[in-house]
Amino acid sequence: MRSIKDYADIAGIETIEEIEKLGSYLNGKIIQNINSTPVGGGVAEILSRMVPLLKEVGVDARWDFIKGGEKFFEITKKIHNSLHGVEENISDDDFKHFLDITEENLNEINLIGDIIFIHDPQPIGLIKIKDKDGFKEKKFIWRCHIDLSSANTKTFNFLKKFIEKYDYSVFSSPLFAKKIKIPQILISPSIDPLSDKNKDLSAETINEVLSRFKIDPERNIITQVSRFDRLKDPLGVIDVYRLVKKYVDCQLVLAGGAASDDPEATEVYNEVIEKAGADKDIFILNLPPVSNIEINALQRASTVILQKSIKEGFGLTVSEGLWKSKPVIASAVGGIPLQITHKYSGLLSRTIEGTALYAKQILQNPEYAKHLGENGHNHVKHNFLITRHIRDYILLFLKTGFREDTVYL
Amino acid sequence: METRAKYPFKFYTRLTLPQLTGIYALNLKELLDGIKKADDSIIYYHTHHYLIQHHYIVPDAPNDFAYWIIYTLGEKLLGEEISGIDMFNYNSVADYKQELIKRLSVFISKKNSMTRKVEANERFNFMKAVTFVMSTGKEAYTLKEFNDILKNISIFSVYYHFFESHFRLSFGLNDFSVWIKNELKLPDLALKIQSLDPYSFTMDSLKGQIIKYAEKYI
Repeated sequence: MRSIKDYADIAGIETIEEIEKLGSYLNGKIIQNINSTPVGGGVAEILSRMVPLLKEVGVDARWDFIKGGEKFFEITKKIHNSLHGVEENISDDDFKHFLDITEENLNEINLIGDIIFIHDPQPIGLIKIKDKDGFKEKKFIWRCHIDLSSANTKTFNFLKKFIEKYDYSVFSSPLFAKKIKIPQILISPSIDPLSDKNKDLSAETINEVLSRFKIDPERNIITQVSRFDRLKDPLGVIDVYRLVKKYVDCQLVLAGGAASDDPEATEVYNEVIEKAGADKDIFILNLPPVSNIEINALQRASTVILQKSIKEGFGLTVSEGLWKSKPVIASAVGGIPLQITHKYSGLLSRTIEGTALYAKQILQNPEYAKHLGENGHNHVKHNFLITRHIRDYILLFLKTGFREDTVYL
Repeated sequence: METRAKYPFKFYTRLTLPQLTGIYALNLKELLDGIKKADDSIIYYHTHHYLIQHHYIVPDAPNDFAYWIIYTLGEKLLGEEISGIDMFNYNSVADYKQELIKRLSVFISKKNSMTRKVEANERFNFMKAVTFVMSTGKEAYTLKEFNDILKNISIFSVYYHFFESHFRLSFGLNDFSVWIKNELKLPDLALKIQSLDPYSFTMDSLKGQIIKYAEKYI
């Protein structure tokens, strides 16, 4: 188990001291996190790292989850997709089942927190308890990890009745938010610099991974790490590579997962294989979910990292690349412009041709590449590491005790 | 002999939590309307958060308004003009806001509203910040102690004592210079620090410059 002190070498001892001091102001308060699952998915991953670190700095953080059942989670998956703008048929019966399960959870779960921190739509209905005696003094926060900008109106309006009962809401990007009556706080997600996916690796480890996949470490490597998903545009990435290769020698690595229970991912993976054809310089790596060291090594070995998404949530793979001081070219969608300031800390592109142009510029100008990579690393260091995330959460918890916009602790 | 202050310099730090207002602009006219309606905390956020978020570089557009005007709207002339407004020439955020409104209004009237409208994902989102001020628990009685602490203090503390003091004290001073002049009786050093233009340094190099100046007096 990592200690908060282990982050001092990266974030600075002064940052760790600040977090510890802030944590001391929450003494005696219980912060109860509630989501829908203890394992799997980004929220569980964040909480599994965050809760122990919060405890270590004196914050009494707890973590509980609701119960559902297959039908409930099928409905919440439809709600999730619908909030992302995907057409879903959610019936009145579905909404009723959602409410019934919410009632069951309200009867079972022990809401002991002084601050109750609800993550995503699945447990959102727990707010119904706020009107009851013994709960009016508690503070309720809803953390939305989803991009709501193109949410289906019917689905959003169903949730809005709950959202506006909360004391605060939290979004990852200004673009993800909606017009609602309660305060909306902006807290970006983060990467953990000491995790297997981001920690420093030895040259031997990197070379071993390259050699396992038969990638030539002496030649340029263009990499995109993402699921085999049309919204990540892996076919467009192959087009980019072919435009670049006309002028600069390079290899292409497309690394991601294609879960067997996701028919579309398999379909996209097959399309990518077909498009790559017999090109021996294209490496399509369908990796199991635990391949964190492999992903880390591939990113560290890359000359350029791409994230050519058509639509994106926050897009933390961009921060992962920047953290490794790599020049990153990424689409200006979702949360990516928060991570890249064009020509300072990476390059923002909008087309296949534009992405190819920037890739050629980087491959032919190592100094420029180095400059972008260094700025990108610094930007992530100061804005997208788990230490900043912990600090922001503590500030949010503290804010629930004050009405003023300037708080003197 | 080293001068010892009667009252120590107490290092505070300032941390912020950004808050969305739900107001946004898709073109210059909407930006102007938003600025007119914005309270001081919104203007302050958009003119200062960039310094903290990008404190390791000197950005060519030192505030969000200028950055959006240059890089999203493509109005480089206006953007440069807005970048060049010296915040330290104004004693209050309200005064700066009036200057901003004046310049934007003049530009819009000359252009006859022929300015670009951007897509929703490129919009300007008006935001503000909840500010938390906290003692670091560190204090200095001598210039050497002051410099030793400064070397290991976060840029958020430097920011609080150098930038925020300008508006808190209302007469363009910073906390470091006031203490060095009044307590350590070193008016020359106080003036040197006072003369630094903080908007043309990175936060780290501003901190480094203050340390360098102070070292010569130790």
